[in-house]
Amino acid sequence: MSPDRETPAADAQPLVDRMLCIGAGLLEHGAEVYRVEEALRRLGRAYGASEFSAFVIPSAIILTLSLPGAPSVSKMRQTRVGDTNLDLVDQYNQLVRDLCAAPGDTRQIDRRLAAIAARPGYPRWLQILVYGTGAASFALFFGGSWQDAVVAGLIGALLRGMGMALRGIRQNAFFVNLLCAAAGSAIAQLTAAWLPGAAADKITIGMLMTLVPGIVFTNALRDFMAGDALAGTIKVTEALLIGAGIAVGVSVMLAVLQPVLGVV
Amino acid sequence: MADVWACVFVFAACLSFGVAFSLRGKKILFAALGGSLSWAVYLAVVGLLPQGDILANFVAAAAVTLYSELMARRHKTPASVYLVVSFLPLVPGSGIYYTMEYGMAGDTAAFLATGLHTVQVAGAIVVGIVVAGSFVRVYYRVKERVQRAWAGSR
Repeated sequence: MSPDRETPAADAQPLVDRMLCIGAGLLEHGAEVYRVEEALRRLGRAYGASEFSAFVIPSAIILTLSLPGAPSVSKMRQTRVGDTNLDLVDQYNQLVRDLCAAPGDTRQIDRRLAAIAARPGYPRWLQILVYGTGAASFALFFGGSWQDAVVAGLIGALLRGMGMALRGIRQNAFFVNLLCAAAGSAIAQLTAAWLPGAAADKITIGMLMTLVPGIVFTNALRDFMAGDALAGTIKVTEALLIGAGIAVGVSVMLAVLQPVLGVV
Repeated sequence: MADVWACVFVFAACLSFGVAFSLRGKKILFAALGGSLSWAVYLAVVGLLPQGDILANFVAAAAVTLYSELMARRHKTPASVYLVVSFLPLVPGSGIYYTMEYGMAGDTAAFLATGLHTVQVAGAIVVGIVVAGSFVRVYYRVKERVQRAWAGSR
C-alpha cells in the first residue's frame, strides 16, 4: 500500500512501458477488461503514483502515470486478440500480486516478464487433440453413440486445425466461425448418411461446443458485473457475432444437404 | 446410471478444454471437477423439480460461479480461469442446434418454442453467474472493510 521510497522516481517512462506490457499480456490472453484496469491501478498505487489513470477496452490500453518529482507520462498500446491462454493470465496476475506486495525495479520486472514469455505452451498437436476429445466427450454427453463421438472428435480436431490456419490470414471472427461451422456441419451430415449408428444432430452438437464463444461470453458478463458496461457491450457484441457465424454456417449446410440426403 | 455417465463425460470434456485453454497442473483437474459439479447440481435440481430446468440452469450457474470464486481465492488465481471451463456443460448446445434444424426444416412452431427455450436457458445462466458473482464481490468487499475497521479500532 505505502509508496516505495526506495524506487528512484526520476522517470515514469520505463515503468509505464512495463505496466503496458503486463496489461497487454493479461488482456490478449483472455483476462477480463476490468481485471486489467484493476491490476494496473493496483500497480500504480504500489509504485506511489501521484496521479494515475488506466483506460482499457478490448483492443487498447491507455495509461497515464505521474510519479512524485517526475513529469507525467501517457501512453497508449493497441492490443491484438491472441489465443486464449489461461496459464499466462494466471502468471501475469501473479506478477502483479508480487509487485504490489514488493515493488521491484525495472530490471526485476524485465526478468519476470522474460520468464513468463519463455513459458512453454502446449504443443500444437496436443491443442488439436484436446479439441477432438472435447468434441467427442460433448457428443457423448448430449446422448450420442460412440460412432457419433468418434466422428465429432475428428471434426473437432479438424476444425481446430482449420481455425489455426485461418487465423493466419486474419479474417473476422464471424467469417472464420461461419466457415468452420459449415464445414463441420457438412461433414457431420455426410458421414451420418452412410455410417450406421451415427446421427448428424449429435455429431453437430458435439462439434458446435468447440466453437461456442464461452470465454468471450463469460468475460462479457464479468465486465458488466464489475460495472464496465463499455467492455461488456463490446464483448457481448463479439460473442453474438461469433454465434451468428456458427448459426449461419450450420443452417446453410442443413438447408442444402438435408433435402439432398433425404434425412428427417 | 446415465446421470453418472453424463458427469463423467462432462469431466472428460472439461479436462480437454482445460488443456485447450492452456491451464496447467492441478488447475485443469479443479476446472474439470467444477464442470462435473455444475452438471450434478443441475441434475439434482431437475430431479427435485422436473418442470424446473430453467431454475436448474440458474442454480447450477450460481453454484459453479461460487465454486470458481472459492477455488480462485484458494489458489490465488483469477476466478474466470475456472469459470470459463466449468460452466461449459450448461451451454445449451442441443437447444442451439435443434432451433436451427427446425428453422431450416420450416417447422416454425417448433423453431420458436425451441429457440425461446434456449434463450430462457441462456438467460438463466447469465442471471446465475451475475447474481452469484456480484454476491461474492459484495461479500469480500464488506469483509475487507470490516477487517480494516477492526484493525483500525485496535
